[in-house]
Amino acid sequence: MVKKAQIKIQQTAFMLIALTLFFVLVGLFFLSFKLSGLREKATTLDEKNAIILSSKISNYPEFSCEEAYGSKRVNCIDSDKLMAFVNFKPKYSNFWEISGLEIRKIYPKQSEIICSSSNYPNCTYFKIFSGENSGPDYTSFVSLCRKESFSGAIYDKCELAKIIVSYKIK
Amino acid sequence: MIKKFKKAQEEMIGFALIIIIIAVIILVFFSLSIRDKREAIESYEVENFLQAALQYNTDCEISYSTNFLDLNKLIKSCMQGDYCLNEKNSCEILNQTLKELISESWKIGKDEVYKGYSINITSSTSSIFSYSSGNLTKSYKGANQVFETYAIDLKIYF
Repeated sequence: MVKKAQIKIQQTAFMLIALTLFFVLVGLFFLSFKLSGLREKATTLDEKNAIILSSKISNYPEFSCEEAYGSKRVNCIDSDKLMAFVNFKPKYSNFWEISGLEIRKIYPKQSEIICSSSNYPNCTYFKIFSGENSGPDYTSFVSLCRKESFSGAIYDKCELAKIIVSYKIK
Repeated sequence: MIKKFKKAQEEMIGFALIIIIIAVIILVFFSLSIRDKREAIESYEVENFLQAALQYNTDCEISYSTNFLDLNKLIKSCMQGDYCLNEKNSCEILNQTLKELISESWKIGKDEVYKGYSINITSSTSSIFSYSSGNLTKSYKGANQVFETYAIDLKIYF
């Protein structure tokens, strides 16, 4: 009777040990999987931040179209403001914690010309700042708008551009 | 003896079943958590593209000179069958502009990151514009914008 009870206790103990071992192994597997994905997660987060930041930058009052082109627009950059920003060259890189910020017109397709006050608006590439140790680039789409005139009439001209944000290498 | 053996067998089967069920739950959890992350981040870029592209001023002037329609208004003009001042059909300009906009923005090819794309513009009653190019693989990122009169859906395959 005692022996039978002992066997039963032993059986339960073995079962508990086996279950504990199983869960420990599953936990270890889960941990290793999570840890191995950390670097990838950091890269993904950087990418997500860059896309969100590029969207945020295009809606900042320093760049945003606001209501100058009719209704309020999202992801719209006023290229006149952008040109003023390029000329002024304020130290915004520390504020945004990025190493580079560029805006490149992509449609209508034209050959690349860096924008300066002498050739604006007949240019395609706004280099706002680009520092050393720049990491990978992340891009997002924006609308680049300005006022144009033809025979005395003023009209809006919006083109498609890419905002390119690069992070410092950590 | 046979009864005892049968009981042990039942316990073993029960244990194995528990392990299998737990393993399946863990696998489902992993696959779901991986899938969710990617789609949420990447479709944001396509959404930005749609928002920016709809603001693009096309070559179509309507009513008076220098009234260049943006893509959003051009789609509406196409739905009404309007003609531009240069006597071109607004749908013709929409067709050409959209194809060029997408091909310049999303480079596709065998050696490129993106393999193909498809775009559909539909009203509540009919299809306004539909176009696809490249290899439409199983993996894609996409976004859609729904307006009062039409909806636009873009998918980029990789």
